[in-house]
Order: sequence, then C-alpha cells, then structure tokens
Amino acid sequence: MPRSTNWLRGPAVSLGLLVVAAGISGCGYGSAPSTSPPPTPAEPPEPSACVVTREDSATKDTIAIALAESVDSAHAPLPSNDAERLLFRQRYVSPIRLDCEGGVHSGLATSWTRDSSGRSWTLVLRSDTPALDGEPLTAGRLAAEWRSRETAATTLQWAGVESVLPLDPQRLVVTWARPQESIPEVLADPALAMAVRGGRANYTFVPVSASGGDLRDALDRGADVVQSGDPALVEYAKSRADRLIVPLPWDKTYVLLLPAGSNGLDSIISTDSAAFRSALARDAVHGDSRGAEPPFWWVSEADCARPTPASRPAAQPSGAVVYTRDDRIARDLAERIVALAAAPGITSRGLSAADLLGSLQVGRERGYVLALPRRTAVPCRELASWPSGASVLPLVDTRLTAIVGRDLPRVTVDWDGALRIGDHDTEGKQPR
Amino acid sequence: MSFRTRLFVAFSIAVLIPLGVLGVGVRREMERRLTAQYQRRVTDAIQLVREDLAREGESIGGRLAALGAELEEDNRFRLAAVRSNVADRRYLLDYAAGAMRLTGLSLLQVLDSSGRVISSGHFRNEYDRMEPELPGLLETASGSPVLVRARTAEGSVVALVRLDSLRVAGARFIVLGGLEAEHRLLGRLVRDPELSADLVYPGQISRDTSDRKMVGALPLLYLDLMPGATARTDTARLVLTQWPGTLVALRRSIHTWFLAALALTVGLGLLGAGWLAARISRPLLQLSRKTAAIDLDRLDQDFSSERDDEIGALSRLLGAMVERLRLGTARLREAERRVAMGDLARQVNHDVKNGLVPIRNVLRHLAREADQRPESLASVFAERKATLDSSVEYLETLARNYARLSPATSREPCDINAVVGEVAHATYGPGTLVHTTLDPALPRVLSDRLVLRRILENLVTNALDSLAPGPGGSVVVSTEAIVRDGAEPQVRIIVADTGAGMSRAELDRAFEDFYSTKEAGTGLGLSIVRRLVLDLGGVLRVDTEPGAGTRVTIELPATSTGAAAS
Repeated sequence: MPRSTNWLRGPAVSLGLLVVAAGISGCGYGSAPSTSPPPTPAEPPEPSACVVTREDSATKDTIAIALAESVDSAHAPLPSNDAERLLFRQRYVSPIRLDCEGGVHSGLATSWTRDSSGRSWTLVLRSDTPALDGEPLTAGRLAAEWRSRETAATTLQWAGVESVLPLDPQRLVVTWARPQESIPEVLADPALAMAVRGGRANYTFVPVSASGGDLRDALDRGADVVQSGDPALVEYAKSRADRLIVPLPWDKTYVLLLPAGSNGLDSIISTDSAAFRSALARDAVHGDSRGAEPPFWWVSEADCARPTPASRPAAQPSGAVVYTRDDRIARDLAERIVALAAAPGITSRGLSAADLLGSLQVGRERGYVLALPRRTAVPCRELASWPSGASVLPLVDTRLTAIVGRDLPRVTVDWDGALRIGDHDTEGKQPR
Repeated sequence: MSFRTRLFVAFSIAVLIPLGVLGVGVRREMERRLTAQYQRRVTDAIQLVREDLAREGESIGGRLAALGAELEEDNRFRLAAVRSNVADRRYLLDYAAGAMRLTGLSLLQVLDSSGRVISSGHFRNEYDRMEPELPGLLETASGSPVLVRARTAEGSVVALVRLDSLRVAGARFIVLGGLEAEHRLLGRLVRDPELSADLVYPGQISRDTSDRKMVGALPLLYLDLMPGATARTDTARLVLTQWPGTLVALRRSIHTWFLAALALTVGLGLLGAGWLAARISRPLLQLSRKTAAIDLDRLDQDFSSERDDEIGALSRLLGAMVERLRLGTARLREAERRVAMGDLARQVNHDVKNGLVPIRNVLRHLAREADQRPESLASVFAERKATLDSSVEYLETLARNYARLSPATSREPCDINAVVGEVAHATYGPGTLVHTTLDPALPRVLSDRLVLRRILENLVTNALDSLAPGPGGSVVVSTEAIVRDGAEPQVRIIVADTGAGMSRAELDRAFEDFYSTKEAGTGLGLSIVRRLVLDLGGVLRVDTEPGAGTRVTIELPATSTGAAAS
C-alpha cells in the first residue's frame, strides 16, 4: 500500500470509501475474526470502555471508510459534518485526546504539568512524530501554526488563552486568563489538531461511489467502517455477520433557536417538557434519538463576549422555521414545529449551511432548528454565531451508529463521538 | 379633364370597385367561418375538460379504493391505528408518505372517525391534527371530486381529491387523497394550448387574466384545511379561459393579407389604367403634334400608320389630307409662278419699253437732224448723249435686276458657313455690324453656291438697311444643324437684326415682287430669296415686330456628303 500525503485531493467528496492502510503489526486488543460473535447489535460502549474493537492480531492492513456526506479538505481540521469529523480524526492529532468517558490520553503532547497558579500549563510534545511535510513537529512550529490558523487562534481566544510560548523544541507553555483545575479540554479540540506523518496509520483516499448515496451499497462493497443515523441502514447491517453494530454516544442536540422578537411559536414554547421532547424523538425524527436531556452547555455560557455585537443589523424575525437543507432530522423537527404551530403563514424552509449561518447571525427568520454538539470544549465559539437575545428550546439528542468490521484493529470512540481507527494508545489513560 | 384622365378614372372605377367588393366579401366569409370553427373547438375542449376531470376523479377514487383494501389487510396498520401499538406508531406515521409515492398521488391523509390525522403523506409531521369537517364532507361529496387546500411544511397545496372510507376492526377511517391541481393536473386537463384552466377559490391570490377570455366554468366543492381559514367549506370553480391571441392573430393576419392584396390590386389597377390610358391617348397626342406642325411651307409630316383601328384610320386620313394640301400647294405655286412670270414679262416689256422710248426718241431726233441739219448732228448728239447713257444705264440696271431672278443652274454640296463668311467679309469687311455664329459641325447643303450667296446677300442687305442710322444696331448671322427623330438632317440659317422690324401688313406683302419699303429698293429681294429657298426644298420663316427687329429663319435639307469645315 503506497504511503500518500495527498489523501484529500479534491475540495469535496460526496460519498466514497477511505482506504486505510494501517500499520498494525504487533498491536491490537480484539479477538480473531474466526471468533466473531453472532450478528447481533452491540450494546453502546460501556462508560468504562470507549473501545469498540480490540483486535490485536488482525491481518487486515487496508481499511475502507464509507462517507455519506461531502468532504471538503479546506475545512480541515475543524469538521463541518460527520463525514469530515470521521475523516479528519484519522489524520489530525490534537495536543491531548479525550475518550468518550472524558478520560485524558496523550496526543501531540505526551505529558503536561501546571504551575502553581494553575494558569500556565506546560505541554511536552512527542519527539517521534514528524509533521506532514516530514519536518520535526516542534513547540515553536505548533505555536506558529496556531497563530496563523484562524480557527485555532479563534478557538484559543474563545477558550480564554492569553499566550502560547514555546520554551524549547519539546515544551510549549499555554497560559489561560483564569486558573485551570485540570488539563483544559480545549486542548482536545479539533481546531488545535495538527496533521502528522505516520503515527497510527497511512491513508490513501479512494473514491468509491455508492448508487444514490445509499450507504447500504457501500456496505455491500466492503466498507469496513460506516456510520449513520439511518435506522434502515442499521436494520440492513444486522444481516451482516462480519459487522459490529455500535451505537455511538449521543453527540448532537437539536434545538429550536428563536431570535429575539420572534412570534407565532409561543404554543411550542409553552409545551416544552420532557414528554414533548420524547414525543418528538419518538414520532417526528427519523433516526436514533431521544428527548434532549440536560445538562446543556449553552445555559451556563450566556455571558460570552460577542466579537461585534453592534455591527449586526437589527432584524425583525419573520417568515419560516429554517434548517440545514441536508439535515433530515432538522427537517423533521422543523416540520413538526410548523405542524404544531397552528398559526397561518408559518412554514419551514431548508437552507444551505452557509445561508443558514448568514441568516442566523442576524436572526432574520422566525426560528432555526440547529444541530449543536452535545459536548464542546469551547462553548463561546459555538455561541458566537447566534443572534443576541435569542432563546433556545432543546428538542432531541441524536447519535450515530457505527457499523464496523469485526476484523478491524483497535477502534475507539472520542469524547465528541468520533471514531478513532487503528489508535495504539501505548500511554493509556492519563491523570488530568 | 383630359381624355387620358377620363380614361384613367373610368378604368380605375371599373376595376377597383368590383375587386374591393370581392375582397370584403371573401374576408367577411373567412372571418365568420373561422370564428365559428374556433367556437366549436372551444366547446369541444370544455367538454373534454369536463370529462377528463371526471376521469381524474375516478382514477383517484380507484387508487384510494386500492389503498383502503390494502389497509384493511395491513396488520401493522391495524395494530397501530386500532390498538394504538406504540411500537408501530412510526410505521403508521410514515405509511401515507410511502403510499402516496406508490400510488402517484400528491396528497394523502388517513384520518380516524373523529377527523384526527393519523398519517399524512404530503406533510408527514402534521399527525394528530384535527379535521372534524372531513367525516361530514365525505357524505356531502358523495363520490365527487373535491378541491382541497391543504397545509404542507413549506406552505400549502391545492389538490383535486376524493374521499373514501374504510373499516378496520370495526373502526371507521377516512382516506383523503388527490392530485396537485394547480400545475400538473390543470396542465393535463387542458390539452388545447390556447385554453387555460385556473382554479378560483376563496383566499386565492388570483393571477391577472385580463388578457384572456373566460369560456367556461366548472363548479367544485371546496375545502380549506389551512389554519385560520374563515370558511372551511365553500365552492370553487375551475375557470377555463381562452387566450384570444391566436384568433386575434389569425384575424390580423387575414386583415393584413387582405389589405396587402387590396393595395397590390389597387396599385396594379392604377398602373394598368395609366398604361391603357396612355396607350390609347399617346397616338392621339402624336397626331395632334404632327397636325400642329403643318403649314403650307411644311407639309412633310408623315402620317403613315400600321394600326388598323380608328386612330390608324384617322392618321391615314390626315396623311391623305396633307398630301392633298401638298399637291394643292404645288399647283398654287405653279400658278403663282406663272402669274409672276406673266407679271414679270409685262413688267419687262413695260420696263424695256420705258428704257427704249428715250433711245427711240433720241434716235428719231438724231435722224431728223441728220436729215434736216447734218451740220448740227454732232452738237445734238452731244446734247442727247446723256439721255442715251441714262437709258442704257437704266436698261443695264434693269437687266442686272432681272438677272437676279434667274434660277440656279447647278447644285453641289456647299459649305454654308463659308458662304456666310464671304458675304459678311467681302461685302462689308471685318469690323462691320455683321456678326456670325457658326456651327462647326454644320452639314453641307446641296445647292448652287451663287444661289446661297444671293439668298444671304439679300437678307443681310435688308437687315443692314433696316438698322437705324448710327451706332447700336447689329446683324447676326448664325447657322446650326438640326437633327430630328426620324427626319432627315437639316441646316438652319438665321439672320437676325435689331432694326425697325415690320408690321403684320408689311410682312404680308414682304414677299411680293417689287414691293419695297425702301426708297431705292427694287422690291425683289425677299421675293427672290423666297423662291430660291423653295427651289432648294427649304422653308423660310419670318419673325418680326415693329421696333423689335426681324428674324429670318431658313431651314434647308442637308446632304450626307459630310460636314462643313470649321
């Protein structure tokens, strides 16, 4: 398998298979394929175990990942959808890694220490992992990368980081405005990740189309990893004895955001209750969902400083309940909200992601059905695109289901629900 | 009004009025038939729409019946809808969407007996909404298609629907399904491209149809399921309108072609009338011009004609008349000549006698003296010699004058310009009052050079004599060649003076022999000139007015032996 450095050649990939040539010799935790369990859905990862497969002696050296959404390499390393999250996670490494339990693992940094004030944290970087261009990944290069990359700089700013100083090639000092009791989770944020060479695996992207975007076709053509929220696909995958069906953690919360001054949806707000959310999850949404359950991170982050609040034009919310056009769950929710709002003139409308973001910032529409991350290390970054004075009505939590080959090397689940394939966590879980 | 104009007007009226009447008649008949045919077509199309509408209703009803039969057999539906099995609720909610796609409907709802939506295909998430009017409407509609405005997530849809009911496990359910009416169905109902169907129902934002003509309307029961609707049930109409543009365009086209044909006919008629009028009147004009040119000195007009019509006969009659005039003129001239010769002989006789009488008297006197007094004969002769000399001189003068009346003896091509030059220079010398304007391309004239000189000498002498004493007067001799279509070339000689001119009476006698207004004139100049010109086959014309001078024009036939030297 040739080693490739241009695994994302095009700006977008509608649907394809990511072929992973994994350097897996001598590693792994799973059992042999011959001892695979019968084809029954696996239970969600236990709280103590974020490891999907522990296959250690797998002979498979190529892993194909089916992607159901478009992938744009320009977004890297901060994904804009589930496919990009899955794909970027295999190449980009953040300073630390959080598993689905919140356990801290080494990433670019092998260890970290804090000073007596708790504001400055010194990260000791790996010495054996070069950057994608083959040059050593030093503390100075990482700091320069963060400064030059807008998403990284903004993320650090929203996280309250005051300075990033390289002490020497291996040590990087990050100072926060406020004392941090434990290693800050922002260091696990994808925005701070760097593309590295080698490490867990070498990847070569081979586009393989699936007719009509049907992931069942990709599954039939040998995709090793498929993730989806489509119940039909999960049902279909149960017929495959060589696949594990793994519900991933609840990773999204759909909310109804109502800009200040929005009217006509009062009946929806008044019916907000756990039963209402459960009914939405049960009846309205096509996918694995449940009524949204607290805690909600946006509740405690209401006083984030807005970058340019005064420059936004005042808008009188009216019109439709809008959603991202490609998001089926958001559409279901928007339509149900419209159905329940027995007022004339209230409709729903799908917008492109860019159009929705532009509309959201000025609060032009009557309501927005948004998919928010269930967990975020940088809440204020998420809140930055919201109109001021908006109210948020949590609706449902959703999660994806991973369908993975039983003969895969170690597959783990990160804190944000992303799969990490072929990860050899030699350091293990580390103390915060 | 000229004869030609009368011909033109008469012909135009005779052609254009019948043509115009024919065109108007054809146009009216075409328009009447076209309108009738168009109306029949519209009527057929309306009937077709009515039948298609009923057929669509039956088609929808058939699909709903099939769905109902399937639902009655569907255990999951039974479990979810009748026994409220929560596990199958999502199947129930999604049922209508799948069934709608499979049956090709664009609106489908399944409601329970209370009117609660339990599955909706066009708006999946409107489940549990109440539509209490629908069960009652099922009875009202009694199998007829109903126009329904239903809610969708994005707005609304207007559909032609049928209602049906079914029983599952003793419970009654209502199935409402139909086809979107405003675009697809209407387009399918109306196949005639000039017809358009529009649904008119309460609350509709009607489009502007002012450019169309309503040709029919079919009433439909209307149900508004939109939230906030004031009247749930009402009457809608399927209004058929016709775009009259095609008929108008057809009529306009007929008008255009009719006007074009009329204009062309008028143009051609006028051209034909003009051509015919000209064809008839042109020979008359030519005859008129030829006749106007006839005088006793100009009887050479050709009236020959090959035409066998009245104009040809008239032309030949005129030609015969001219011929008779020509013969009469010749006879008249001969008679005049004879009279003139007689007069001349008498005059010569008289003059000679007058000249001989003194001589005879002198000779008698000399004879008597020689007989009676021979010695005084010399003195008497000397005494009477003056008388003899005077008489002889008189006779010589008389002879010389009569010699001028002698005709030309020979003819040869003569250069008139040269003769004019000789007369102007030899007689009066350069710098005199005679001016010449000569045509360098003047053809020669077959004549005796002496005759030409006599003609010019007489005319120039008369012209000079007519000038008042002192400076200011002038005599101009000019020559020019004349070429007329179909005629032999001629030479024109003009002698014009600024002298005293002549009155009409003087002009009438100017060509008489021995008539002169001058004290020393013989009265033979112009007479001789006229005869010489006539002998040469030419024409002489005098234009004069007292105090305004005289202009004598001579036209002589030219010979083809070449032009004169300049």
